[in-house]
Amino acid sequence: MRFVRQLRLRSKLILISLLTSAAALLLASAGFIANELQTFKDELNSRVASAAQMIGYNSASALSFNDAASAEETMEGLSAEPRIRTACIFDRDGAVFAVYPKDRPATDFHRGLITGPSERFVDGHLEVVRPIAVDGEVVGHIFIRAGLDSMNERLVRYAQIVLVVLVAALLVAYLIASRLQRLISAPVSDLAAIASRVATHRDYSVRAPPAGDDEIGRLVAGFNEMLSQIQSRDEALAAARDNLEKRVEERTAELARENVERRRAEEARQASERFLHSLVENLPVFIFRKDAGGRMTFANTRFLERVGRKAEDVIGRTTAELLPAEDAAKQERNDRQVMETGRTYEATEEITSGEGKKSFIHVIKVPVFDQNGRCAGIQGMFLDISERKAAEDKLAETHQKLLDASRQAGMAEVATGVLHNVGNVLNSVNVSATLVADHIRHTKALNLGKLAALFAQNKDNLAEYLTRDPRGQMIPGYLATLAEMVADENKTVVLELENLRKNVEHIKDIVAMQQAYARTSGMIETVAVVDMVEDAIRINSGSLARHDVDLVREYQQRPVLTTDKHKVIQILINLIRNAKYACDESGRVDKRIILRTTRDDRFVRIAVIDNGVGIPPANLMRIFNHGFTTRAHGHGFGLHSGALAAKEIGGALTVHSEGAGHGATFVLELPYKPETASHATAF
Amino acid sequence: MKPSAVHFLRVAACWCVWVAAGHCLPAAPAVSKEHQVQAAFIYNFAKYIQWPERRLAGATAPLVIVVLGDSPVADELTKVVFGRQANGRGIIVRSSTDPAARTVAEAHLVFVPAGQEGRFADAAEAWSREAVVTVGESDRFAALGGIITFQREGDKVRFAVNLDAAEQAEVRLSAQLLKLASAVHRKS
Repeated sequence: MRFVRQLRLRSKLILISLLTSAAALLLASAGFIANELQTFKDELNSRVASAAQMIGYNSASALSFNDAASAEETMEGLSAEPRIRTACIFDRDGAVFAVYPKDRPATDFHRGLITGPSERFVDGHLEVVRPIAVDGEVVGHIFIRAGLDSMNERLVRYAQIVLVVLVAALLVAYLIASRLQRLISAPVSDLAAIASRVATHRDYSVRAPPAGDDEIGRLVAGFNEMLSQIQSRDEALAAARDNLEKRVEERTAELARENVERRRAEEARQASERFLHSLVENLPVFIFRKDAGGRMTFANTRFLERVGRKAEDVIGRTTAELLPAEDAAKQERNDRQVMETGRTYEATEEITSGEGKKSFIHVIKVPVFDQNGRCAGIQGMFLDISERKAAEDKLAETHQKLLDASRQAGMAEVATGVLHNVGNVLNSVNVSATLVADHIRHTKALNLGKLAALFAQNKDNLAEYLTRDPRGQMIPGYLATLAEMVADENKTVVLELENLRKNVEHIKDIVAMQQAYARTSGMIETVAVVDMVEDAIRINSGSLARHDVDLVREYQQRPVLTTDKHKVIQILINLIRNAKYACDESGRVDKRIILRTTRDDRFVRIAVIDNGVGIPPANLMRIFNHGFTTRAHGHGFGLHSGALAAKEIGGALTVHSEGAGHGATFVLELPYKPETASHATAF
Repeated sequence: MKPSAVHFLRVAACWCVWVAAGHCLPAAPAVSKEHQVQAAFIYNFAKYIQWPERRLAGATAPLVIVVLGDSPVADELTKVVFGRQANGRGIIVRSSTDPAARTVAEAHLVFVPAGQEGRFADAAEAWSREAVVTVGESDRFAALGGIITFQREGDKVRFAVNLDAAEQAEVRLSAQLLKLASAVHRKS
């Protein structure tokens, strides 16, 4: 093939023509010869087969009667066909019965040749076997072998003819091809010459001569067109080269700018990532994400630390695989709800850890949406608020304890106040009693005894004594003065005794009220607001009088309401006492406390207004806080417990002050429901 | 290999083939008893003989072969025809000592062994009328007008045909049979 490739186009075309002609001729000859041979074989076959049939039929009786000579005589007829070389008749048992030609030795044949009715071409021979039957009974076989020599002779003759024809045909083909090949090779050779000139001289201005309208013509036209394009492209390239440097410069600058921008964007992205990572990983919250199928797709480090598993043991797992069945079912329900409604879920939940430890978590779950706005799962976070919860519980407990302590302290204070008041009154009682005793002890009435003794000494001359004696003359005047003095004394003592009685009565009142207060605490009853205010005043009246505070009652309305009377009174006592202290501390002369009751449709308001030291704005916010006090010996739960008590009975305690030195106003607001006043259990 | 050894082997091989062929081929004259060959020939005669229509009751009616007297050919013939047919007909072999007996009257072919020629002479005319093919083995039988007579040529069994007698009895003998006959006698 290599040799063929190196040939010139002209030679190739001639060679192709010759090869094609030769191939066609040989193929046709081969077909023809094959057909001839087959025909020859078929003819021979049928000739031999019919001969076998005939000889078989004619020698059947000879076989039957074991007459070999007769059979051989019959087979002599085969000499009419020279191609039949040998023949043999086998008897029923396969033994050689008769042969052709007669002189042929019987050992040339053997029973292996009997292959049923058949025709075979073996070793350049045709062998035909036919059974010999008499009356349907096979009595022997005939075997005929024919030579194929004449066929081979014919084959040689054919080969000679084919050879001669082939040589003649190739000669003619060569003559025709060498003339016609120019049609193709000439324009191609021209084109090749032009191409080689272009290649060696880089001369794109040359053009190949046009050649017809066939493929070669189009190739030439295309080649010329290509040359034109290359020529114009060369010119364009020259122009472009000048422009290129400038563009490279521009592009370089552009790339540098892009790089800076990209670096900045990358830094910003990294910063953002660090920021997000810090948010997710460093805040003490547990963050997770699940897909729509409830499988974990993300969990932050704290989450993994809390569940005590590695990321690969959590990611891809469902809630059911991570939590006890009951908790998992609950979480899955919540997750589904979030995904179905698209709403945020937020709750405090109690969960049980693997070790059975209970803890409280605050959970927030929100839906996650994909780019198409479909819900693709949830993400959420939770906080362990067990400690906070515990602290809150502790606080509530402490608060309750403090509340109890406060109440007890309040009661103690009330008792102290009562005792103080009683003590004060007892002081007055003592003063009154001492006064009366002094009056009695030093009464001028005792001088009457002296007068009686004088009268006894002068009983004989009493008249004379009264008229004459100088001393006696003074007695009537003395008696008049004494009578006046005794009457005076009597009046004073009676007055003191009246005071004494009043004071004792006061003590009785105080004690009775304290008893009532202690006994009925916590009971809901229907009372007049004014009565409660008066009770509170009465308990504080001693100290109010002592500190010379002007108490002003402004009862604008006098409603009746159903409430815990003693809580209200306790609050009011506290407020009045605080007002009194505030007034005391201000050191002013015109100390004044105003008690005002008002009412609207919903509330009854009791205002305790003082003109004392006032409250700085900073303290207004904390004044109800537990433990806050401005007094040296205050314990700080008066107002705190007051506010709580007000809340307990459905009301409120508020304060207002213009600032230090401007007094303060405390308002106790109580719910007012006239129509349900009788239902005492509303709270 | 020495030439003498080759020769010995060749002779030995020929002897083997000859012995084997002799034992395998009952029809081979060298080892068959004469009556065995005769029995086989008698059966084959039936194939090449055409009887007139009146002797054939139907398409499949059996042919009856009778052996006169007491001959071993009867036994051999019984063995030969066992399970075989001639021209599509079964074959019945009978022995009889009485040519006038009914069994002989139904016969299509009668074998007359040597010594039974006297009995054949009595019935020859009647059998000829009934188209019975007579087969014998003696010159006397042939002289009495038997149709087929076995002859001996060396150790081969052959037969002669009296075509006049056959025509007389209205039976036709096949050309295949006639061409094998050692002699065909015909007067007219």
